[in-house]
Amino acid sequence: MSFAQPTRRQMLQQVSCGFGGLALAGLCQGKSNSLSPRLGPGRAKAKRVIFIFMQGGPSQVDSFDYKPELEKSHGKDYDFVGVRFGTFGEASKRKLMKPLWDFNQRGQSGRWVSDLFPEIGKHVDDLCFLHGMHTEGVAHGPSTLFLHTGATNLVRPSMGSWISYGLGTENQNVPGFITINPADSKGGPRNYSNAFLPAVHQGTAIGSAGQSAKNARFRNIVNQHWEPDVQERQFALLQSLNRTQQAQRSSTIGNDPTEAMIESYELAWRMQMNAPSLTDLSEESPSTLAMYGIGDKTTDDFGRQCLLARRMAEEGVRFIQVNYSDESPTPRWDQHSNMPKHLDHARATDKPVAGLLADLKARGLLEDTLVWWGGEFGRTPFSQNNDGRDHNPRGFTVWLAGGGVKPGIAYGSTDELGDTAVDGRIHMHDLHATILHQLGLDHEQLTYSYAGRDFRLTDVHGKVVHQILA
Amino acid sequence: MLKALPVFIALHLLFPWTALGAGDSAAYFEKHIRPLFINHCYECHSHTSGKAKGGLRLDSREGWAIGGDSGPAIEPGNPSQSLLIRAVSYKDNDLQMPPEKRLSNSDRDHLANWIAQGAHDPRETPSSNSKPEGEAVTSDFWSFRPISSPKPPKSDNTEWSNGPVDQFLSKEHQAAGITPAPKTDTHTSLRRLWIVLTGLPPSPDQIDAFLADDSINAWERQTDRILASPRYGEHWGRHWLDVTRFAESSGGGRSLMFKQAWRFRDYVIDAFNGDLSYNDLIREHLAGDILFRQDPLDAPRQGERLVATGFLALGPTNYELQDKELLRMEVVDEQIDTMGRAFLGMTLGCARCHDHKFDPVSTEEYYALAGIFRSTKTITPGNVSGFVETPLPGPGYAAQISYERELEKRRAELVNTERKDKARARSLKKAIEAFKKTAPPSRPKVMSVREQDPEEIADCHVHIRGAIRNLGEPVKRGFLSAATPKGQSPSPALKDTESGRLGLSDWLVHEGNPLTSRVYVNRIWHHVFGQGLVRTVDNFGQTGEKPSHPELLDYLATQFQQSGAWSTKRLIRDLVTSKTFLLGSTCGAEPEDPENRLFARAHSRSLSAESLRDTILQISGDLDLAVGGLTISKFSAYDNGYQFGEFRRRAIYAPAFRNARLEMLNLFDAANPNMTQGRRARTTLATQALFLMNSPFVIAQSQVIASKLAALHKTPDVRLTAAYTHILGREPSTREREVASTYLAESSENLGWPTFIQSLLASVDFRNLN
Repeated sequence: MSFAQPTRRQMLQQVSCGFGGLALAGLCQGKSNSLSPRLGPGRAKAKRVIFIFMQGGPSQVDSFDYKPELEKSHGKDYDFVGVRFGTFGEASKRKLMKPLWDFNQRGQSGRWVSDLFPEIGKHVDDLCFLHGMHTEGVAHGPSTLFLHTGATNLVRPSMGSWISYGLGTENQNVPGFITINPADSKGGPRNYSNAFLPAVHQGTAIGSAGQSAKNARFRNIVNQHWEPDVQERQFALLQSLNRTQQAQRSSTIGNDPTEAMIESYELAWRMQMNAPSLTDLSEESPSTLAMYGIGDKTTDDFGRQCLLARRMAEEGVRFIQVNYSDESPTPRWDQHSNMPKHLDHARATDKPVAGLLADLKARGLLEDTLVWWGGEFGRTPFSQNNDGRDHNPRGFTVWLAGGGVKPGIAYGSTDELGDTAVDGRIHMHDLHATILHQLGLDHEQLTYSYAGRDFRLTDVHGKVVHQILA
Repeated sequence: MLKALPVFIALHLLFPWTALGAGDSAAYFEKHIRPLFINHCYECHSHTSGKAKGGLRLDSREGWAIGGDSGPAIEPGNPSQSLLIRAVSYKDNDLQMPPEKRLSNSDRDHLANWIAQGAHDPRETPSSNSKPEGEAVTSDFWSFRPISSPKPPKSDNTEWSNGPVDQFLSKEHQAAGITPAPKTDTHTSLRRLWIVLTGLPPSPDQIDAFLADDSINAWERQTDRILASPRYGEHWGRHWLDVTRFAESSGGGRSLMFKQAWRFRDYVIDAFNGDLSYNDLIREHLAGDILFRQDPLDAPRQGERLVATGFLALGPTNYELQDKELLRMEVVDEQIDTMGRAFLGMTLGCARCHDHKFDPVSTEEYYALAGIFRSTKTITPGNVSGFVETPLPGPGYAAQISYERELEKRRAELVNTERKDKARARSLKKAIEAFKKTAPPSRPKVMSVREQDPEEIADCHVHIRGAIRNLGEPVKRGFLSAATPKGQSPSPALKDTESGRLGLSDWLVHEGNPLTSRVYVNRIWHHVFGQGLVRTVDNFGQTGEKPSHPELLDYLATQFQQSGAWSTKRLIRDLVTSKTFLLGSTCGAEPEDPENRLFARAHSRSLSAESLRDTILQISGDLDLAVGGLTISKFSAYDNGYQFGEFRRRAIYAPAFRNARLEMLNLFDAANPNMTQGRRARTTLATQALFLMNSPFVIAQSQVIASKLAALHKTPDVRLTAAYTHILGREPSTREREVASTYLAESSENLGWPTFIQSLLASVDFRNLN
């Protein structure tokens, strides 16, 4: 099939998928693809992803990547190869700065975690640390876009959109890809955009960065104006008018778009009845709220976001992104100076994230939910502006949990100072490929034909990191 | 070709070179080097693995001596000049091998040592070391063949036919044994005409006026009247803005607002309203800054021409990229890609890394074009880079221009005088200061491009696999040979100060260029009839579709260039005055042509996001028809968090940010401002339904319309008719009257009418163009 007008059946299929995705989106829009992404039933280890985005670049050497050599070399000058404008590719002397927090081995697995994250530290036996991460871009914009779309500059679909496109939806009444409180800057909507993929795969943003998670809601889902009984009658009128118009047009042929439109109203109505409860935390028990730190001023906001993520996971949302972001010119974890401020961000997120891990595990959701914690890059082991650290795309740490990755391990490493990934190196493309793999998607097969060529999330790169898979 | 960076010299000094005897060399290789290659390199660079990434194999002497796409991997005797050493050192941000694990210090020392000693390697070449060749491509593809000028077929059905368009189509109907749908009713066809030409339906008064005109050429007169309306350029300008991926901010990381981009939007609207010929439009888009450089700055159209080059400048760009050579090539790539899709219907971006797999575009040709755009200045480097801005010329700035000229003259005189006559210099200086006080307000600076400084103008090297610091041979600047007409050169002679843009624009609009006019007339056809003759309007390559009516397409393209004088309005007029334009959209239950490729009936489609919004505002009387100008109400550095407030002008004038735009545009498939999109997606989503059901905008507008109608018509029955005429452009049917009356009778006055009006605004007949 080629660029055909959708048939009625296809229109219905497109519509019935509604907010969410389609298993075979290639049928609905544009050219058909060689879309046989699945590895086969049973091969997928995860059904969904929760991505906890630590925007701005948390420091690996102060959190999870323990470097005794850095402690010892504190204050020494060392040659680093520049990655920024003006210093690109050139080496220059920089002063090393030791971690600001003490490290301890934790759990049965004895993984090293600093005092920044005592609560997450209690879950190390469930975590899979990737210490050899590296990525593209140096400034926030390019790297953040790369993290989400696999491209620093060219406009490409977001990972969540690819996943929605590849897997379709488990629940028609909710979107397949939701991002909670995303930032408008550093790529903004492009970080959850479908780009050239069909519009159903667009990420749905609820709330926005810097605003209270209490106000995170779907747009237009509630009618603020008409009373429910009035709207119910109005809805009946609307569909009656529509049916009449449809009959008058008497176009009974296959590609009647009218039927699809009428169906879309039915679906909208069902969503209006169901979706608002998704963001309503009033059904949660006090102990659950406490587990996420909800009610405590420091952790309340991010706790709410994490709890929303769990509720969405239960409802079958495929890709859920929780954003620790704000709208200030520099993102939250971006301590070019005043590294001690990392502690504020750790305090705001540590307990909520630990609560999410515990809650997912208790409900049996961790098995098929892949949790991913990380920033767009890490930070340098040398100091900047006396007590800050600069961006570091050459080496940093993210961790995964659940979804069929090995628990309690650390894979890969940076050099002895924590600067450059030198072993078990995982490029962001590789991480993307690996996450898709866990969802049963082959990153080389998950393609979409646009403007004369097949595109994929990993471009012509990416390698599944089998070593970390259980 | 390999830049020796300081770090390599440093590296060189670190290695303890040891002299080796001849027998020792073999042993050294076997002991240290062969295992290292096998363990760390063969997985991706050997015959046994079947992989030669980057074209490189490391399992034979010949493999590394020939090397991959980047040239030899090893320079025997010279580790610091060897790519292999550069790669394993991990000091180069673009080249780090092995990719997953840096070699140990001792392995790296062994490699350097081995190379320093002459890189003795006993391994023979396994057979078949030749690189795989790509599939042959051909220029004998339909869209590259010269445009023919076929004669319209004779039509037996004179009743049905109204000229060449109908005749071409009719022939195919007859061949397929299809009877065209009957002509649609006057109300529907008039609404269709208005919406297709202006994006807005006719008002009840305009409907009445048309119905009252019983002259034989009433339709043609109506068409001409609408084409003369400023609303036409606002609607068709929007189509072109989709193609030019117009936006008023950069997108990317920090999404910079483009304060002057509105001038490009207005330029496009004016171009359509003034029916600027398409060949001139192309020339201005690509080379407006140099087209008439011999003319005075304050000559007519100089301002428009400069603004037109915004086409090249206002693409999505991540000005934050720190690697400035990469940024420069990303901009070039975006320009080539947009130029290719917009004018040629070709996707040229593929050839950045390899010869195009499907179309006759080689990597060399890509870099021939890249040389042109790389010799064009678009950005100004910096931590966050900027874009080129140029003071706006044109007759409107004659005072400024003459002031600037005079000031320049006086300054030159001062310089000349300073040495010779100090006293006179002093008085000249004084006079200049006094003169400066008479300065008129300075000229606005607009986003534009200009020729690079002469030392930066050059042919571009091939970037091997698209990598910016991996340069192959330079390629002479030029165009695509497959689309170059016979007798023309694909790489013309260029002066040292010329980028080649002027030549490129001439090449594009040359009458023998097989793509330019075909692509354009097809775009127009697509918007008039709802589907292109080539449905993939931005892709005329092998991965696009073939035309349903190749002869008709060629006929239109030829006419457009010749008697049509590249006039868009004339072409549109020819199409909407065909009989085909008036056909109904209905057909039987089992159509012979389900996709309606033969245009035997009208394609039904949805109103665009802009039309839907503007029409609602027009009905309520809230639509502000002011034209042009800057509409960003609060200018700041970045577009994020921009608040649109109560914007009541036509949607085309709404600030068009890449990271923020009117909610309706996002919901109802407005074009993605990051890429050429000549054909919009068409979705039917629940989120659209929710907007029409629940958004404060639609509810408020429904209330305004309801009270307006209530003020006009007291009798419910008359008011109902008026509601249908205003909103749907027709009277209600008996059945509709019944449904509505029952609903209204059971509702209170203040709830019934607004909710009823809102339902009409959400109804399928309102959302669809029938």
